[in-house]
Amino acid sequence: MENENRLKHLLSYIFVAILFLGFIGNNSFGELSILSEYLQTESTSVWENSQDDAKEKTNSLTNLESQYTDKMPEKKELIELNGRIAKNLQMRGLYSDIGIYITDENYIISCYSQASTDYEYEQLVDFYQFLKDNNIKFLYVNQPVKYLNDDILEKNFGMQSFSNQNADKLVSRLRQADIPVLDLRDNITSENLNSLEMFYRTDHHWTTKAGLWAAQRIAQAMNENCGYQIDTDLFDISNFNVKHWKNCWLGEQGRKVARSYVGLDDFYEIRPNFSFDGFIDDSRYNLTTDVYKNGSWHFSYQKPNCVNNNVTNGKVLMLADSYGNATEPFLSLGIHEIHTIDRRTDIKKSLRERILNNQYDTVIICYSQIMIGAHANPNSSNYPMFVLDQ
Amino acid sequence: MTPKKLARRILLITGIALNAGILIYYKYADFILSFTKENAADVQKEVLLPLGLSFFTFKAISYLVDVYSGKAVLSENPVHDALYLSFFGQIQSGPLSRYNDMCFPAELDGKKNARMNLFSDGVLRFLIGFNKKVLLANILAKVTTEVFSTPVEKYTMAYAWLGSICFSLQLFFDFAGYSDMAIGLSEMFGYKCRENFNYPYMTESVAKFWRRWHISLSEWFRDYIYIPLGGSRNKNKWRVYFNLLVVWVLTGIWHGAAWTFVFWGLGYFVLISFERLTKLPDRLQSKPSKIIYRVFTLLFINCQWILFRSDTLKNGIRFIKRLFVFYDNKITDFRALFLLKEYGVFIAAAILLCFPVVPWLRKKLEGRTKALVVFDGIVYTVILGLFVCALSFVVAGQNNPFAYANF
Repeated sequence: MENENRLKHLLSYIFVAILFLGFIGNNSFGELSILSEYLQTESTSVWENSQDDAKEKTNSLTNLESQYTDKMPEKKELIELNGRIAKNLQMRGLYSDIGIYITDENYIISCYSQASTDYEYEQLVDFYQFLKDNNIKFLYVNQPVKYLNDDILEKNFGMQSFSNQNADKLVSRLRQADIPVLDLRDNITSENLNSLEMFYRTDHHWTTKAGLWAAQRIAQAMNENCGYQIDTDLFDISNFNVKHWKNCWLGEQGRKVARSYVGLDDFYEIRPNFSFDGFIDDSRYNLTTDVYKNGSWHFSYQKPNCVNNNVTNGKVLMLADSYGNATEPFLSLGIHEIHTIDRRTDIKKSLRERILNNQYDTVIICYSQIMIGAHANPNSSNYPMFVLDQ
Repeated sequence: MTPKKLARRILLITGIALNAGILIYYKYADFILSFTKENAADVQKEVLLPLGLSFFTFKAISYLVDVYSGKAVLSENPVHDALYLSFFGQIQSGPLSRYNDMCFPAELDGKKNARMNLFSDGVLRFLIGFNKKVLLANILAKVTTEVFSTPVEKYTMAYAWLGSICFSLQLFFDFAGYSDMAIGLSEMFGYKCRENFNYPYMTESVAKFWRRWHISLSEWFRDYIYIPLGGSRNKNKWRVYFNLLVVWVLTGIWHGAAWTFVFWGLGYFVLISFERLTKLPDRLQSKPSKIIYRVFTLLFINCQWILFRSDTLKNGIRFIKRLFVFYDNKITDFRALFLLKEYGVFIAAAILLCFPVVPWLRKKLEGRTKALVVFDGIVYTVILGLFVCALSFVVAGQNNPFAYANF
């Protein structure tokens, strides 16, 4: 009994030490103001009784918790431990509630729900008519996700995903309405490429190599549909210096789980043989910074708003998502003037007015197919992507 | 009746009515309105349920009745009453401690290192509870959340079984984990706290299950409803069944203002009455028949938990149907197999820990001092190691609210 008590005492000393070090280590004593602020919010609105208040309270409590968790000492080590546990137990769907499934090839893939495509279709048809009325060319580019067949989720995880089915539906409706569409999935299939290899393992974006590849296909489609004569040889890989960074960064999805769970990603830094510096943020290529603190290497490439004096023709507006960071800098090599809009950050300005005022000759919408259906969820950050009627 | 006695009784009834009234207003007004008025949706209120309302109301009622009956002495300091009702460790999901429980354990009083021993017991208990909650309940909740949010018509038999078994395990480890933490915290603060669980899935019968599951609630209903109604000593046997009916309907409603909970309570009433009438399983002599009855009991409890978790009675019944009838000639599907493979280790660990494995091993070593020290050392190290693993799950965002917090 005495020995048992001694061991228990030792256990309680360790426990108290963990609590005490945690309290000191994450400056919890300095964060008591957050708690006090939270309690004040509670006391002022507790009787208002609306659903919004309930949501607000839940949010503030979640924030309070996450602020404490964020500053937890050894947080990174604990996340790594969690990833190691999941990896050792060969769990491929532990983080499925945040949309993360791990394939046999150690790629992170996600599930997407079914979309009617009605909103997207109606907006695009109306937008196309507006452009047509103003003699402006249009091209819709469908950018793929990591898998071209939704069955991959069914076969590996028993889950249903609708990403490709949604894209098939929208593309087919647009084609029926005679709207010019470039579905990059067709190119991947006809060129017998492996779609997984065009993406990062730990991030939902495609690689710079895929971005360059896509730029060439988009240029080709612009030549065919928008009256351009871009020299597509410009985008030949031989015109670029390629630097291969091995195991150098952790993608956005990888950070939500752990490096120990999914490993690090490679990165290809691709620069033309001539000056291209304006589009690349070199500071991200830093192997000494913690991969969790270092910014996303995908965003080392920036979407352009530029005039290219090496080319005389073309004034293009691109409506793009973040896939565009790896595509548009390359595409700009073949166009005189190119501007980019991301509707998520630009929704307040009138799109149509801007198109007319700037006298663009072509508008290209270049969206990942994960955007299809996002308008069904007003809380989604992608909600405004297909708002084209303003 | 003397005026003093009358005044005491009036005060008691007023106190109970006041507490019960608050509970009814916050928790049941919408439910009552839903079947008394046609336009119920228009008049329903949007009131936030105060945290732990069901628990502190019951604690308050037990205090009033205990003071009235002389089992507890009215505190001279109202702060003590407030602390008893609002002790943070128990506010969310109990256990339903009585006023007399909230004191330093008498058996430890005067003993060497008594406070330190109690504190250490509390730490150990808290760690065990935290590990149960985070490493078992939260992980199993991933399976149950998915299964219960999938339309029932998509279930295969295996998927339905997996979901229901995982929910039975999740609920146990969630609530037992919370209770362990509450008991641990109480002990760290120098108080005793009622036990709430005693390996409930080892039960021999449905009636005995409730002597092992949420013990403090069963004891509350026994002491403050069943016995005052006459209990089982009533000469009129139908009156005993009526008392049981009242207790189980109230138990169901206490868990939530919905028909699923009413029928869940009635389910227990029917089975417990059946056991009472047939004297099962005590009259069973052979071991196989006792085992069969245990399996039947667990099966019944498993089905009851389905009703408990389902959003509507209809969905609950459809779910239960899927356990026994397979549709489209499919016993299983890939998703069920995937989930089993993915969470198999956690399911197996949870099933194993439904039995007193560690106490059993420890008992085997009794009398061997050195071996016991090594054994305890290993157990405590494992508990501490698992605590660090559990912390990693919390930090990685794998935590979710307590399942019993809704009540």
